Amino acid sequence: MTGARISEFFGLNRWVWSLGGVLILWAILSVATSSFSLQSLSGVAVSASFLVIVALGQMLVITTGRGNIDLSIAGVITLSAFVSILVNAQAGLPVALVSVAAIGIAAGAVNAVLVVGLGIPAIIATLATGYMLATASLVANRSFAGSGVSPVLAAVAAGRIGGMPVIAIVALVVVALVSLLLGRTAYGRALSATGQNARAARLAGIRVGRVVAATFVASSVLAAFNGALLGAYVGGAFLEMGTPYILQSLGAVVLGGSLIFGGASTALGTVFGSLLLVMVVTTMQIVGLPPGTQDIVQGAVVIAVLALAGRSSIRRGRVTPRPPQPPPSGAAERLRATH
Amino acid sequence: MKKNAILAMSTALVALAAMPVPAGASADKPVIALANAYFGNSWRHQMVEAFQEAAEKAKAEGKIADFIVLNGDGSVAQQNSQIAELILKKVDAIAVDAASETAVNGVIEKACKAGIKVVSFDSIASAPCNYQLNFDFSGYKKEQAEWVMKKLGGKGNVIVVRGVKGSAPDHDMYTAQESVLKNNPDVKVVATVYGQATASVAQSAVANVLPSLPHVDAVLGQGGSDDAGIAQAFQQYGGDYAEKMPVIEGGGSSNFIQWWAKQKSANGYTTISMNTTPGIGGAAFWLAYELVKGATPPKLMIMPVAVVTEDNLKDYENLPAGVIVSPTYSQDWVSQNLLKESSPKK
Amino acid sequence: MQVASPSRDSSLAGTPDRLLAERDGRAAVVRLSGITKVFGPTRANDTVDLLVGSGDVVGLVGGNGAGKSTLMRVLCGVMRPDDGSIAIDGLDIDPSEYDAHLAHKRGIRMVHQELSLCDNLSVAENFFLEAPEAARPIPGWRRLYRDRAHQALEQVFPGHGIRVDAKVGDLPIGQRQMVEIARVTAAPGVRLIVLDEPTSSLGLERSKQLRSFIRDRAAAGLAFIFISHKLQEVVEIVSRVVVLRNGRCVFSGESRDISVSALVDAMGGPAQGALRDAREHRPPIAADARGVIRIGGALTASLGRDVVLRVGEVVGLAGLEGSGQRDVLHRLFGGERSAHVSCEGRAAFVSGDRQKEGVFPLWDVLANIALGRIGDRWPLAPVSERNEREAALAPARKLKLDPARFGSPILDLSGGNQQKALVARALVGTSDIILFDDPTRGVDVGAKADFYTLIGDVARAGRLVVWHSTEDIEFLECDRVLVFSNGQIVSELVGSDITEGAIVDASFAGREATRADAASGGPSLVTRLVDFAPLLGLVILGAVLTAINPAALSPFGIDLLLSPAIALVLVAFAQMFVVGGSEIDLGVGAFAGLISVIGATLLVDTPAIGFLCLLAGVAGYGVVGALITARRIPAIVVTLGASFVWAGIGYTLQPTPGGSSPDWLTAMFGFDIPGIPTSIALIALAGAVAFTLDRLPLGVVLRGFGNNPAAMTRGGWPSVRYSVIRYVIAGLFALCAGLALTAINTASDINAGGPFTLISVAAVVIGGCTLIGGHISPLGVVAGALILTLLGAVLGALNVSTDYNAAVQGCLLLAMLAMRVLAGRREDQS
Repeated sequence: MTGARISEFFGLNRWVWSLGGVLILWAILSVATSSFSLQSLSGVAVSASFLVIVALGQMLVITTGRGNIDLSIAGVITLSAFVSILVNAQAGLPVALVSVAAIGIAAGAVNAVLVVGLGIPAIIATLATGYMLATASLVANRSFAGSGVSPVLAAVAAGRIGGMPVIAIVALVVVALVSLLLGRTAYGRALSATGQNARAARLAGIRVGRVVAATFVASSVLAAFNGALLGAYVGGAFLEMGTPYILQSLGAVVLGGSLIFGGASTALGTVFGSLLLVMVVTTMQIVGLPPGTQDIVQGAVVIAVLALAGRSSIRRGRVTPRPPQPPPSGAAERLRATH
Repeated sequence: MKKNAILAMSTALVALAAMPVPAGASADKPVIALANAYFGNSWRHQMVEAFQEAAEKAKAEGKIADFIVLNGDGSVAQQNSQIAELILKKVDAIAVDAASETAVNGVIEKACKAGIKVVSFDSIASAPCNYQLNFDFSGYKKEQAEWVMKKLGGKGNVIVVRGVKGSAPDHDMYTAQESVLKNNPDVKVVATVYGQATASVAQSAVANVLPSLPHVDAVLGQGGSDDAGIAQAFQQYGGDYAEKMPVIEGGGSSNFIQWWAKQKSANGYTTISMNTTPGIGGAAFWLAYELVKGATPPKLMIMPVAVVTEDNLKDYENLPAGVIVSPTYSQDWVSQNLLKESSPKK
Repeated sequence: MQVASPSRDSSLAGTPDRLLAERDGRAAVVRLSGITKVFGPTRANDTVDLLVGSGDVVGLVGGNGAGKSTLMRVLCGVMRPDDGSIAIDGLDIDPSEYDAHLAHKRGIRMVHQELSLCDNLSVAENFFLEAPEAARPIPGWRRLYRDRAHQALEQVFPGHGIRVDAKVGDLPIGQRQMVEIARVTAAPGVRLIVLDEPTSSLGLERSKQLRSFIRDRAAAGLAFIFISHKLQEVVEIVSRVVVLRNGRCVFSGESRDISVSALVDAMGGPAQGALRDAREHRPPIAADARGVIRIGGALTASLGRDVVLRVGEVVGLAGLEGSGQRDVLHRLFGGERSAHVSCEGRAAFVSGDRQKEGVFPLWDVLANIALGRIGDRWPLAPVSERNEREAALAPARKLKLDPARFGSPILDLSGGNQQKALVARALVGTSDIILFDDPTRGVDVGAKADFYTLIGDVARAGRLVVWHSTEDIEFLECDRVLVFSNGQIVSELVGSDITEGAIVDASFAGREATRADAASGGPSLVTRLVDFAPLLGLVILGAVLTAINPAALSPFGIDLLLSPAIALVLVAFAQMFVVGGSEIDLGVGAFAGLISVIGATLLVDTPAIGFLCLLAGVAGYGVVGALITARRIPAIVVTLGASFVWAGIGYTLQPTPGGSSPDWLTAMFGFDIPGIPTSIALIALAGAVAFTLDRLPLGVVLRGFGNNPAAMTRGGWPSVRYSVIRYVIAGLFALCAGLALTAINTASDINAGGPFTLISVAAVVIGGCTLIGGHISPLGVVAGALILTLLGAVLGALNVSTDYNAAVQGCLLLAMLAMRVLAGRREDQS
């Protein structure tokens, strides 16, 4: 019976897998650099923090189901970085923050109109939005001087409090808020319902369109603030700054155990997924793998985790069959027995 | 410097001239064009400005009929399209900062066949018919790395920061650094990361690995402002480095130079900076002009690099921020240095 | 033959059939003996016997949850029984070996309620999918199937008027059902056809035609099983009737020996009486009860007066399926306030289609129930499990749903209990109106009885209950029944006037004139124009370009302009085939880059190894396809991961751009046809190949999988095999793209491939392909790729900075999609 309990636990708390991966990699890292300390994680923590903030937004969008995905985050990040620095140089931090928020809201709203209003698949809609943001970044790039980072933002992005990076604290706060949002608010329930079965959700009184729209806006706003902080961290903005975040946010979400089909998401899992991804890259660099091999490993890791977890992460319902019931596939058939 | 654009722009092809097709694009008053693959960092901005300055001057002096500047998004597709556009516009010469060493060869060959003089520079193209104005990446990187090795006394830990993944300059520079490192067996490479020749990427990459590394004594970079980013990473990390920074190879960015100057007055920090000069834009312009006028220089020409050492540091301390160290190359300079057989000294 | 009373045990039911068969000397086409199937606490089938002889038309009758569909699933090999035996043509078959494929081979076919046609294919192509043996990959292969389709339709529905080349998606539902039925009857070697509610969407005339067809074919030896809840119809058509109730066979005998009312008794039994009692024992409705729904206008034209529904009532919406009840139900839910339907107050909805419209499969029972309160709360309002539990207790008790099961995953519950949870969801909310849409589907009798008692209580406690059911008998417990016909309310029955007979009569009331079938139409003019948009766009761009610089139209100019398009067209074709399967390939560009690298390195230095690597690459693509389908992993993530693998391998092979192109390769891509620019020739060649592939039977099968994979698998097509084929085709196109890159640039660069991926998606979409549903168009894709290629050229001509290229491309993409949406071709199907 304990075997069944354990696999049930794993099934219900999918983030355990990515945590396991993190621990394994940490062990490898320590052996490779012969120093087993929390310090090893702190540098990784900063990169992972930036990734987590964006990945949480992606997670929310994926949870709405129906293949929804946000490919425009790259453009939002880049443009926000540019704008926050440019505006701060001209008009100070508060105005800069407002502009960044405006970018996030506008991009999210456009995505929402396209996906919810026009019924365009999210892949294409966010792709198109991303294209437009890319143009805006190019235009911003022309007038870019290179200085104008707000010291406050820089302190948040790059500072440390007692050895702990401030950005990691910020990321953890965001994680906590999102967890609360998902688990303890009406919106969180509505979101999960929409992802599992949008039609049923609508018939249960959920305003599905509004939920999806709000989610796209949330994702863009998170990406926008991430962009501003990223710009402050690196002391500038550059084109294609946000591009790596697309695969990485997807990878973090999926590795963390959120269902790619929607309906179930785990903020904690996304944290571990982000950490895992960043650690994979860092470990490979430190171990000295040739760059080509690093790419192969990154891709293979994502595929392998999905292929292995494929069955259990897609199957809906209980993980372990309850005796004397038939195996879980019977559940779906039972549901279909209409006569 | 080339970038892998995931939001690549359409494989646009040649457009037609925004300006009316230059009339009388004749050898007397030629039309010179610049096809720059990527415009996304300050080095490229400066390079294009250098080209434009030289071209404006030439136009004012009546030497050329007109000039065209086309900037791409880093993708091969767009540069192919832009060069094809220039061919259809029947310009006389094209200076190309290529998106890829090989992938634009096809369209360059077509240009040559159409009678257009093509010179690729900085990021050169390997098409046999074009002239190449290159930097001696291997040479200067070797020199710079050897200086660093000497400073370290032949032993210590170094981080190697590479450039744009997959580009020819990155490969050349890295190979040069590797050969120097091989000759110094007591120097250990504790990490190799990609800085994409950009401050922020370099900063992020170094900051990622720093906590897991033993004490770092030096950093070999590739320039393009990655030096400023690397310095920032160590600065932010603090710790042991607060008092004594590792020897960071300079890449010529004024931000780094200023940081260096401050370090020097604080604790006598010293390093060396060598960089490819964006002023090559102007040199490329004049070279293209001379080619149209019938000059026959060697197929491969080498540009000098700018060097900043302890000795001439004060000359560069007061550069504005965000600028790369670079002289301006005039037509005379080009005639004297490039059109002759030997490669120039500083 | 006596009518068995419900108390008789089922063993008697088997005897008459055996006697029948022996007497007539006919061999049984199918004999099911002692079939038992158990799902948890529910015995869906309990030692059921079924014997169908050649030429028999057996009517299978029973209420919801009686076990009919389970039995049919066993018969068709889709479900394995827990006990019992199956014999076909007198030969026993091992139940563990019996599957859909075998059933199919033995000539057993079923026309399901959910249609198994692929609506992106034509009628003739759907006939091909049913019987592909006769297809040859030669031009004109469709003619055979067109003839078959036409013949089959004529046989069953003379004068059908359906164009066999029309896309099924363009046909109205009645015609789709006709095609579905005709397809099954035309299958070669068919011995037994199961028709599950075949006339639900057919008009009167078509139903009649179907009936006479069945009679004719039965006389010739074909066997039928006819499932319907329209008992009148059943009694008229069938030769024998089998009645199921609660999983057991309670009657089996000749149809001439039974009447509709006897059938009703056999099916429903005590429930009927109980329902009437329940209604009669209900307290009367308060005289001053508030009216919350008013139905008038066009809906009550034949009735002659408005209908007002008041709080406290239980009102039934009856009538033949498709007469407008569901439509009204949904309009009430939507809170419509018009002259026809006016609904004041909020409504909760309880659907009987639990899988599609009710249940949240990942949640436990409590969460499913508690959702009823979420809808009208402020988004950031906190939810706590304790509050939810408290709120759910009362409704659960009323419904006799054990609160101890609140923590179980919802799918663990029986159908009846799941439905109770859904009703509880409606009850925890604060709505005045509860709308029920056939809620007792698949619910066992015990749970049904609980419902009926509850409904009355709920209504009298202060809500209006509106109940739509497909079982007329359930209306006996309503206070009032509104009978629909032809989209209108034709009759209002109150109190003791409510009988099944009255309902049936009224349902058929407005149908004197034979209803003409809706014209099969076809896409409208606007839609046709929109379909041509890519080609139009291309022509416009070309014209603009030429107008500004005539040099563009010269062979030299065209070649220059279009040569970058060659690789893009090939990559776009690769993407198109994947998109045709309703998937997206995010790694195709990187793969092309890898092939390009192999071509410029290995193929030059060690050609043999180079070729092997190319083969290995394509095989790798096939593996990706197999992985996606066999492990059911979403293509988008797998291909994204694969893109890193391809790029990594390419980078390892060639860290810096370089290499060279083998001479034979350059020659292949550089041939000279006088007068025709090389690039156009190559693009045309690629287009021809893609077009041909798509038009072959193989292409039809691939598109079928992209549209209705469930139906394809049911029909016996192997999904993994075709997924591999699909990805191998895509891989081959990407391979050509990679080799083209090497040949044209005479060198390779691993970074040059990546950007092609997203542009290929854009090209495919601009070209008119849908990302879901399997609609693809090779010509459109060529147009899309060329448009993107020329776009930058035109922008430059208009003096627009290259910075804006991306934005224009994005807007173009959106414009195309928006146009299609507005013209009625929506991408998503809800």
